[in-house]
Amino acid sequence: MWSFLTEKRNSSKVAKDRMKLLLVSERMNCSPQIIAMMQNDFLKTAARYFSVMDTGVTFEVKGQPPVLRICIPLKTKKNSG
Amino acid sequence: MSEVIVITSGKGGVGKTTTVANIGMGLAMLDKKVVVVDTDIGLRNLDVVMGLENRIVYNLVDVVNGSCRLKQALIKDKRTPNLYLLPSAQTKDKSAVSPEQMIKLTDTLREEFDFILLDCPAGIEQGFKNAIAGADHALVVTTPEVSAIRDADRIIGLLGANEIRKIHLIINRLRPDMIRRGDMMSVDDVVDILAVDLIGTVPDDEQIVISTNQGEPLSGKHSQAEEEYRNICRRLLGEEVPFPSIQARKGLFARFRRK
Repeated sequence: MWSFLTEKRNSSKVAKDRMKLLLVSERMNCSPQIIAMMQNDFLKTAARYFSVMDTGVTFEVKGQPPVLRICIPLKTKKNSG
Repeated sequence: MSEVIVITSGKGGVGKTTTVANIGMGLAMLDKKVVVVDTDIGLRNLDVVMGLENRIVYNLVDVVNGSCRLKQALIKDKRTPNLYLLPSAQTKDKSAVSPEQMIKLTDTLREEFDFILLDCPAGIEQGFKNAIAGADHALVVTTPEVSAIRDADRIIGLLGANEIRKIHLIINRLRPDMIRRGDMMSVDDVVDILAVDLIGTVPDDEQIVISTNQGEPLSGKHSQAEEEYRNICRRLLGEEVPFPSIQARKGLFARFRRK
């Protein structure tokens, strides 16, 4: 029942997430779908070597010339419960 | 040393012309010699915002063509002797001015003025290319809305590709009540997305409409927006001025770094 309240309250968060994804793809001159595929590939590769967290993964493209920065939090004995 | 600053955005209607008029007036009130130039060939606006629409004799295209001397086209402001306007033309021919001609013009203006503010048209075509040609510094104006931010990002990329490295961001039409409710992106959100140094956070303010109606930028008595425009002028002159308290959070002062 409360979900509609959180949806309304978070429209700015929705906008921010959309912008971050969109601008990554535009700065790299490819579509958001390609970016999503690439993110999946990186995650799968990292997961072959490490235990990775599902949340907190970020992909950012910033600066001139653009630099792709990927953050993938890893599971340790502490945070994997 | 003179500075040529282009005020641009990509998206139309976010407040470039208003920003140029208010910053121009603010710098002139701080005793700088300022000229504001309307580079939007065909759709002139800066003259009307400044209340000088009845004083136009010659314009930018006349100067660039040699049809008149620069001095004949420059219009002195009604209220301050330090501020001049070079209006645009109403011609539909957007190719009437070239980037090379703009560089020649800004070089000439540098001899007389401390600050040359170029009001850039919306878009990324010839008008944009002309406006950035002679610029040392770019102020990118955006609002906290998705289409404005996307266009601003594109503009920032184009500025970098055209070797303009000194870029600052002005976020316009902020509504603190909406930000508090989570219905509008905050200053931190926009800066995080665009990753450009901030120079101004201007709230949405009715006084701007009133001042524009009267053709008198910076004429309000208790206007938060006009106060912030004055702050932007002080920051342009090297002063460290804190951003308004609604956005004040740890580390925000550090966001404004002079290059």
